[in-house]
Amino acid sequence: MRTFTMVVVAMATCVLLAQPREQPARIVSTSPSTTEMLFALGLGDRVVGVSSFCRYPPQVTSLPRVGTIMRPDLERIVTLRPDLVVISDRNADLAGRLAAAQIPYVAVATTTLADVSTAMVRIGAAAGIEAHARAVVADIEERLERIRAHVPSGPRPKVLLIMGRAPDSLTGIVAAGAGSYLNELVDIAGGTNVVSAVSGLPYPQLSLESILRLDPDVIVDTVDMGASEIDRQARNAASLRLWQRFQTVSAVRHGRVRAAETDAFFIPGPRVVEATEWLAGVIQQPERP
Amino acid sequence: MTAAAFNGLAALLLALAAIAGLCVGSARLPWTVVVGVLTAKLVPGAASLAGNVTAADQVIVWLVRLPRIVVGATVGAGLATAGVVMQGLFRNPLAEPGLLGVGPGAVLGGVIVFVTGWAARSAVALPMAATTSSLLVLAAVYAIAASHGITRLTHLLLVGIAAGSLCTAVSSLLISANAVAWQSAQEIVFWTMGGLDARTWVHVWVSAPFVAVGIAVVVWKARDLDLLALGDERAASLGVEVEASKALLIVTAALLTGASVAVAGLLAFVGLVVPNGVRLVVGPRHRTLCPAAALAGAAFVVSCDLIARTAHPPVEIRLGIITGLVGSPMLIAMLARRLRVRGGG
Repeated sequence: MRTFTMVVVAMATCVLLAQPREQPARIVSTSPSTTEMLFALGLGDRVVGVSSFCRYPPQVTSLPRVGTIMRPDLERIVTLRPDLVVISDRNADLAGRLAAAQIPYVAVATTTLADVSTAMVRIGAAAGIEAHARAVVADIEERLERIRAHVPSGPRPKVLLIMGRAPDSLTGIVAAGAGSYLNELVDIAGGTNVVSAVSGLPYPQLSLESILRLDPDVIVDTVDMGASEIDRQARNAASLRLWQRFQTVSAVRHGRVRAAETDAFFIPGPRVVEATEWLAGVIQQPERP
Repeated sequence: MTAAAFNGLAALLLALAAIAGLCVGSARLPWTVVVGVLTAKLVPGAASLAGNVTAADQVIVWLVRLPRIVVGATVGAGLATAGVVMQGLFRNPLAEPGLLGVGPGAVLGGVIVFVTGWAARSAVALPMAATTSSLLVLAAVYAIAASHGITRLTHLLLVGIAAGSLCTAVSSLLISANAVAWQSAQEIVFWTMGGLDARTWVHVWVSAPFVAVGIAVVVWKARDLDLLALGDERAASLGVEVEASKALLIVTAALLTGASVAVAGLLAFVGLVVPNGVRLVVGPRHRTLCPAAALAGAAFVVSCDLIARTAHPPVEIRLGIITGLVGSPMLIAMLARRLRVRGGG
């Protein structure tokens, strides 16, 4: 009798555990980084709406657009009948409106690298695949560690990552600062973020003068990336010409001003590995005499 | 045109703009669905009648479109009434609520909330801070400008303008001095340009009561406003408690402005164009001018908002741009017509 009870209890437990949790089938993402996370987690086929800026992976280009991360169009979101919306944790407004509309959502941060990992796990948990999400995150972290392990010993080049500036000029420069995930990517790739010494903000504005004083060894300019490959090369050449006047800067003197070749730089998501690999290649390239 | 005819026209425009605003949007909803949602929500016991209405339709009509229209009407009425009070008190058609530093004060409160990150954590933080700081700025301006219990309007104006400039400068400093993250800076600039997107019932509750009370006070004090236009001494001799009345009216104008800026940002020109335009039509008596301006202001902002969100889809043009773009030519046209009539007569 006791055995029988135990068997029944065990079977019931199995049935309960096997019962799949109600998984969301229609997911809306409000930013490129969360869209990439969803696809990296294998949830891509459940994504029914993405932000206006989403371009990667290519299949998102045919999906309905719901506006931008801070100003999404709730009407469009509601029309897509989502059972999960991924939003920014900075958008309390949207969170309140989704709650009022009784639409489930998960709010995530993407400022630091740890935020990116946490975000992916939380999205996975909300989608009922937390274990898988943890595995994906562990894989990303392991690949980043492998890049870090390959950094040669010796002095670390001072790196400046330019995230924004006025087109065709070196004004209004916004750089990746100490508080951003890009700061960590530079560190993993074997460099030192030259801005972290002067500002703790994620994305500080810098004057050209302060950049001349900081004297970076490597400059990565992510502005004016262009749409096509030919377009991009032309723009890259133009970006590099802008810097040529400033031969006192080590990076200019040694031909180590580079235009970014991947939009992964802008997107705190699973492609941080790709961005770091590219960055490591640039930083660890031997100096031109 | 009589005041009654004008009010009827403004009410008609408001109703048309509101109906259009309920029926037009990025989601295509037939008007029957809109009617269904409204009856289900407004008529007790009618929920069962709305058979063809889905939960999504309810959200779109009741939580997205309607609050936006109600906030627009509230803000329009509030700013227009505040303008009426300011122009009446200062006996100057160029007076507008921003002159007392109230508008810039509200913006500063909003910017502080953005900078400290509270805005990201709570949707109520922004309107609350904006209203509070606008009242604080007004209190400071009043305290500085008042001497020996007498408030000279010119002093009030000068101190107000200076305080407003200071608030604007501090706001700009906070935005540009790297005090905020990149995206927040963009958000702030968007907010200061004025707009009604993403308004909710919360925004209605934090603005509508203030605006309703404010308009009631102005209508109640309409006779005082008329008499104050004759000058302080004449008004006093005609039985107006000049200082008390002025203080009450100025606080009311500030409250109206603060509550409006808090939920809609800075809307260019509403407080200037609407009262002046309405005054040309219904005349300067505040008993008729004030309600007419409130109604016209509501109709103006709701109509402009309709243009802002449908003119250039899928991008929304900022409402502050439309109010300026539509309002200024309207005022110029009205003035030109008035001048021609006078010249001919």
